Amino acid sequence: MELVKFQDIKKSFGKKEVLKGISFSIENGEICGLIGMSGCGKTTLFNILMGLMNKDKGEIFFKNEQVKGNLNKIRKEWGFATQNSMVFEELSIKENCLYFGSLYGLKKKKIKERLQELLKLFKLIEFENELVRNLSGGMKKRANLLVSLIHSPSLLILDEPTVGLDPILRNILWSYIKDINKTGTTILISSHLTDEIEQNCSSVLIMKNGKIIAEAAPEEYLKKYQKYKDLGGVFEMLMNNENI
Amino acid sequence: MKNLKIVARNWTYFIVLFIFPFFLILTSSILLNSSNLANIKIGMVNEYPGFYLDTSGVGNTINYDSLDECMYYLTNYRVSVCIHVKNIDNKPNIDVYLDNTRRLIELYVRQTILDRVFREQAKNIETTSDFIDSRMSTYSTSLDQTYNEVLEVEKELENEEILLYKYRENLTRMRTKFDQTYFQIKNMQPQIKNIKNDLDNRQNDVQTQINSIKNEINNIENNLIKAKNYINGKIPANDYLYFSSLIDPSIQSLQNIENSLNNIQSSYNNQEIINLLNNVDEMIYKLDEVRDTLDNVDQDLNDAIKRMSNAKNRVSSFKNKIKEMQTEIENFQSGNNNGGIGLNFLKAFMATDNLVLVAFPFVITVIITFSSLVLSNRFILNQVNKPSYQREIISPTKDVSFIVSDYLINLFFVSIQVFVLVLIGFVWFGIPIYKLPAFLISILLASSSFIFIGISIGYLIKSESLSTLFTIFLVMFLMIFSDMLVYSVLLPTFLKFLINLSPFVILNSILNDTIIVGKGMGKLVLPIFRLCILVISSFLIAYLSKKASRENAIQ
Repeated sequence: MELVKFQDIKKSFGKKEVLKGISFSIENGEICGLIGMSGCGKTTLFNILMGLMNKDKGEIFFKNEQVKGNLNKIRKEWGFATQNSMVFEELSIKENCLYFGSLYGLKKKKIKERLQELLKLFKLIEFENELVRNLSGGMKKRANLLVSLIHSPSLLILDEPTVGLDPILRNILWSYIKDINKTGTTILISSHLTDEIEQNCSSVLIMKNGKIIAEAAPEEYLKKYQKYKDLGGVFEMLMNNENI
Repeated sequence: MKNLKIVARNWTYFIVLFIFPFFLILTSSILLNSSNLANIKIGMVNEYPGFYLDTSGVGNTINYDSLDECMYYLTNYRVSVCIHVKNIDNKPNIDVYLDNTRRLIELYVRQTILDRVFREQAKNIETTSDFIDSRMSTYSTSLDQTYNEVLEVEKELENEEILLYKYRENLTRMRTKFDQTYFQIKNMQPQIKNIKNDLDNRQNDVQTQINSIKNEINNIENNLIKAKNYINGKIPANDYLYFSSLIDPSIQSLQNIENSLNNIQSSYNNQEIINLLNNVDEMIYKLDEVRDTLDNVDQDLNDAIKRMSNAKNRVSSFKNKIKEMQTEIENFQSGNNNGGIGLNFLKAFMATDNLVLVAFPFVITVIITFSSLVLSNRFILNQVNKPSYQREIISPTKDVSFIVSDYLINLFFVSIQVFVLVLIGFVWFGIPIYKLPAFLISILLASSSFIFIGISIGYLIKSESLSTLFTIFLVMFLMIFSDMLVYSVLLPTFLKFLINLSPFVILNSILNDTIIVGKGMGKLVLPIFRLCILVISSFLIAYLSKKASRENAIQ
C-alpha cells in the first residue's frame, strides 16, 4: 500500500534548480533509503515534505490525501529527525517528551506510557531524567529519535541520522531504526553511506542533480548491475555516468 | 586588516555599526531641531481686558473662559501652563500655574514668562516714559497753579466768612435796638385798641342819645303842630291867635334845639383819632414783618456762614488732595513706580519634591522596558536558533499557543522584577498602598507590550547578536524618543502624537501621575486604555512575526 507519493516536485533557489521534477512513492511499512551526493537536494526534499520549505511545483500525497491544506493534520502522523539534536539540551528526555508530546495534543498519561515503551526500545530507561546535554553523542541521537517517535508517527523521516557516529554506534542506531520499523512505522531515511542503506533498507532511491535516477530494492540494483559487487559501486557508477 | 575585512563584508556589522547609530543620531537631531518653545501650549485666562501678555514665539496660546477649564486641560497635560491674568486694584496680577511634574518645562516656562512679563513692563515703561515725562511736567505745573488758585480761593472764602460774621454782628446789634423800640410799641398795641374801642363806643352813645332827643323834640313839635291845627276853628280866633302866639315860639325853640343838636352831632366826631390809631396799629404789624424779615436775614446769614465754612473745608480737602497728587507725581517722576504687574508662580499639581521619588517612575520605566524587551527577545532567540525549533515548527500546534506561552513565561520573569520594584517603592519610599493597582496594571500592560515587541524582534531577526543589538537600540530609541531628551510638549504636533504612542512614554506618564501627582485610577482610564490597545497591537505584531518567521524558514 502506497503511504507517501511525490509527484513532480520542483524547487529552485534563485536561478539554480535544486529539485527537477521528483516523483516517487513509499510503500507502507518499508524502510526507504535515499542516497545521493552532497548538495543533490536530499535535505531540500525532506524539508519540503515536512513543510519546512515551500515547493515551486508538484504535489505530495500521504495515504492518498493531498498534504497541501492538511499539513497540520498529517503532521501528527509524521516524525522527523536530523543529524542535529532537535531536542532541548537543558531538559531531560522525559521533559522533552512531555513538551513535544503536548505539542502534538497528547495527554500526559499517554505520553508517559509511550515514553516507557520508547525508553525500553532505545535502552535509555536509566537516563529518563538525565538532562540531554549530559548524555553522550550516541545517546543524544537515540534521545532525538525517541522524541521523534513520542506521538507514534506512521512515517519517520530521518535526514542523515548516522552522520558523525562511529561504525559501532551507527550499527546500534540502525538496529533501533529496524526495531522501530518492526513496530509498523514506515521509515524514509537519507544517507550518503551506501553500505548502511544497502544493509538496512528495503528500497533505495538514488538522487542525482535534483532527480531520482533510480528506484529499486538493494538486491535488484546488484542484479541489474552485476558487474558491481555492492551498492556503493553501483552508486559510484551512476554518479560518474554523465549520460544519466 | 583582517578585522576590517570581516566588518566590511558582514552586513550585520554594517547595520550595527552604521545604520543603528546613524538612526539614533538622526532621531535625536530631528527631536532637538524640532523642539521649539513655540510648540508649548499655553492656556490663558484673561480677566484684565486691557492687558496683553505677548506670548509670540513662546507657545501656542489657547484662551479659556475660566481658570477651572484651563486647569482641567493643564492637569490632563493638554496645556503646559495656565496663565491667569486678574485685575487687582486696577493692576494686572498674573498667576502662572506650572506643570511641576516636568521640571525642565517648568523652568523653561518660568524663565520665559518672567522674561515676557519683564519685557512687557519694560515696553510699557519705555513707551510711556517720554509721554509721562512730558505730561508729568505739564500736570505738575498745572497742579501747582491749581494749588495756588485754590489757596487764593480759600483766602477769599475766609475773607467772605469774616465779612459775613461782621454782617451778622451788625444785624444782631441793629436787631437789639429795634427790639427795644418794637417791644415798647408792641406793648402799646392793646391800649391803643382799647382807646379806639372806647372812642367808638362813646361816639355811638352820644349819637344815639342826640338822636333820641331829636326824636323826642320832633314828637313834641309834631304834637304841638297837631294841637294848633286841632284847635284852629274850635276856639275863637283871638284865642287861637293867642294860643298860636304861644305855641309857635315853642315850636321854633324846639327847631332851634334840634338844629343845635344837629350841630353838636355833626361837631362830635372821633374818626381822625380812630384813623390815627388804626395807622399806629398797622404800623405795629409792619414792624412785626420787619422783625420777621430780620429773623430770616439772621437765619440766612447763619446758613451762609455755615455754607461758607463747608466750602472752605471742601477747598481745604481739595487742596490736600492736590498736595497728595503732587507728592505722587513727584514719586512717579522719581521712578518709584515700575509698571505694577503682579506675578505669582504656582504649582498645578500637589506633587512631591522628593527628587528620588521624582526619578523613581523613570527608573521603573527604563527597567521594565529594558528587561521586558531584552528578556523576551533573548528568550525567543534562544529558541529559534536551536534545532529543536524545527521540531516546534513541524508540530501541529498553532502559532498563537507558542506566543501566549512565551509571553506568560516572560511575564513571570518580569513579575519578579516588578515585585522587587514594588518592595522598593512601597516599603522603602513609602508610596501609599492605594496607588498599587494603577502601578501594577500599568506595568503589567506596558511590560506585556514590550514582551510582545521583544518576541517579534526575536522571530524577525534570528541573528542573536543583531537581534540583541537591535533590541538594545530600540530601548535607546524609546528612551530618546520620549521626554528624556526633549520634552514632547516642545515638539510639533505630529512628533508629539508619535511620541505619545510609545508604551515607554505612556508607562512613564502613568507612573508619574500615580507616584508623583497622586492621580487615582479614575483619571488614568485613557492612558490605560491606550496601553491595552498597544498590547493588542503588539500581540498581533508578534503573531504576524511568528508567521513571517515560519514563512521565512520555509522559504
